[in-house]
Amino acid sequence: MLLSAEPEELKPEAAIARLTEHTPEFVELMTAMAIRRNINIIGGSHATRTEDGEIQNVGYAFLRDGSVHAREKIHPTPNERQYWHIQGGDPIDVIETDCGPVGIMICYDSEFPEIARRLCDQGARILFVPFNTDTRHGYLRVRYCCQARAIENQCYVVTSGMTGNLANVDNLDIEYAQSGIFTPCDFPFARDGIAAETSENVEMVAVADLNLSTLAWARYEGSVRNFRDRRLDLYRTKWSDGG
Amino acid sequence: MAEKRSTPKIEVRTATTKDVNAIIALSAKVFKDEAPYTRGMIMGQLSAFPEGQFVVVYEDEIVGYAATMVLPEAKVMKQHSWAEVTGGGYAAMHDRKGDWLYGIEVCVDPDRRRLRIGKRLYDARRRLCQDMDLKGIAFGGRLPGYKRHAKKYGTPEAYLEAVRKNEPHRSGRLLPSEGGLRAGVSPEELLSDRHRLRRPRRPHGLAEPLLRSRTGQAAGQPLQPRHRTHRHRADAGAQDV
Ligand SMILES: CC(C)(COP(=O)(O)OP(=O)(O)OC[C@H]1O[C@@H](n2cnc3c(N)ncnc32)[C@H](O)[C@@H]1OP(=O)(O)O)[C@@H](O)C(=O)NCCC(=O)NCCS
Repeated sequence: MLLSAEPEELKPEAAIARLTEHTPEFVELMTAMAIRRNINIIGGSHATRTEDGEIQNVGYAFLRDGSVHAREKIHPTPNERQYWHIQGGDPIDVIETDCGPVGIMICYDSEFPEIARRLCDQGARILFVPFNTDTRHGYLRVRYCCQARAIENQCYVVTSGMTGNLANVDNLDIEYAQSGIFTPCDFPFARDGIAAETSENVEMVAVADLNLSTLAWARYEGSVRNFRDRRLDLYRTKWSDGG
Repeated sequence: MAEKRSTPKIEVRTATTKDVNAIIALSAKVFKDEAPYTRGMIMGQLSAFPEGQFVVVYEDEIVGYAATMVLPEAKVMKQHSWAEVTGGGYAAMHDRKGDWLYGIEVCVDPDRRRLRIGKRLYDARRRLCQDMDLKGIAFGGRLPGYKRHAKKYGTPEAYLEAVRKNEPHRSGRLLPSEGGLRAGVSPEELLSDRHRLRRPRRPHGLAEPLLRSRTGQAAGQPLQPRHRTHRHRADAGAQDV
């Protein structure tokens, strides 16, 4: 959006570099909003220049206590690597909020089940997935995977994607999304495992109340107990940080 | 008049997320040549079972940590590894319907040892166990001193029995010094992957035992090691890292 306000269309690499210049302003604005409205905001993801000069795709959480939590995208897509030279980050950690620990997985990261599992092992019960996809194929990859993450970890997954067209911005010109709030599939949840959903490719707001104790019920009493029925005597993900 | 202290000097309390950095620093200090706990592991323990994670604060400093979860008897009494039952230390497999309290970790600042801090942590666990009306406390531990005495005692089981009888010089730290102790040996060479990660290879034949204790019960026979379904890591001579 910021890019389409540029006086002339920039080449993708220059455009993303330009976008990083907006980071401080973006962070300041959203922090002020979180405090003023007394809400926690997961602020989508934003190209950010790291200390060593690399550009990363970073998701931000702005909490109502005024704290800002940045989480790097772990897996850049081939497209991100090629056009924008985006590098993947390493740390995968939950964010402690007054609604319990939550996780951020940016777009493609939701398609790697190890990430969600680690976040849920760390105590996350809600995972937030900001995404940007340009075709229905791409969108459905994210959506199907997010629904799988909600079922296999018995957690909520909240997706939020961009819709419509962006004039003047190469490589980000068309968008396709249908954002949704996904739940495990079991009796206490909505029939289709969808707590709320927007219309296809229309800019709108989806609202749902998520009850964390319903998740605890599902993990202990549910028809299936995927999160706790794991066979850790057979398999387990080993992380390079020892986690 | 002599100065009076109105605030306690030493305190045992449940851990909060504000303690995470101090707990990580403590674990790094205690387990010097191993990867310290990650933030995520402590967060996982705290959110899985907040009532079960204790710290000891001594003169405003965190000098002890005990991590705990609840497990069903079937899991506790079966031959198991630390990584398996604790989910690699995250405590995500905490089972609020289980019947045993399970000790994931206990560590005390090396500069504050022998002050009964470990004992205080164990007492906190014991109160929790009683409050929750559980069957007892179980935990896996290393068997310090076995390496030195391996020749004399042969199997870890024999060494364990000797320690129970107070035979070798007690560098084997068996914390629950009161109450009955039932113990068995796990064929795991090293109980945790975390411990395995940065460790130099252990000499051939060294096994890490699994101790199980049951509070308030007369000392029973050590549990016989169960049928070993897994190949003994040390026997296999290779350690996957
Ligand atoms: C094990 C550990 C927690 C003990 O902490 P501590 O606060 O020094 O222990 P305490 O002062 O509470 O002592 C409790 C009992 O153990 C005995 N003890 C403690 N350290 C001992 C040692 N090195 N040798 C012999 N006995 C010892 C004490 O005498 C006491 O027994 P008692 O009640 O019969 O007198 C501490 O040494 C530690 O953190 N070790 C490294 C981590 C570890 O091995 N954890 C075990 C799980 S893997």
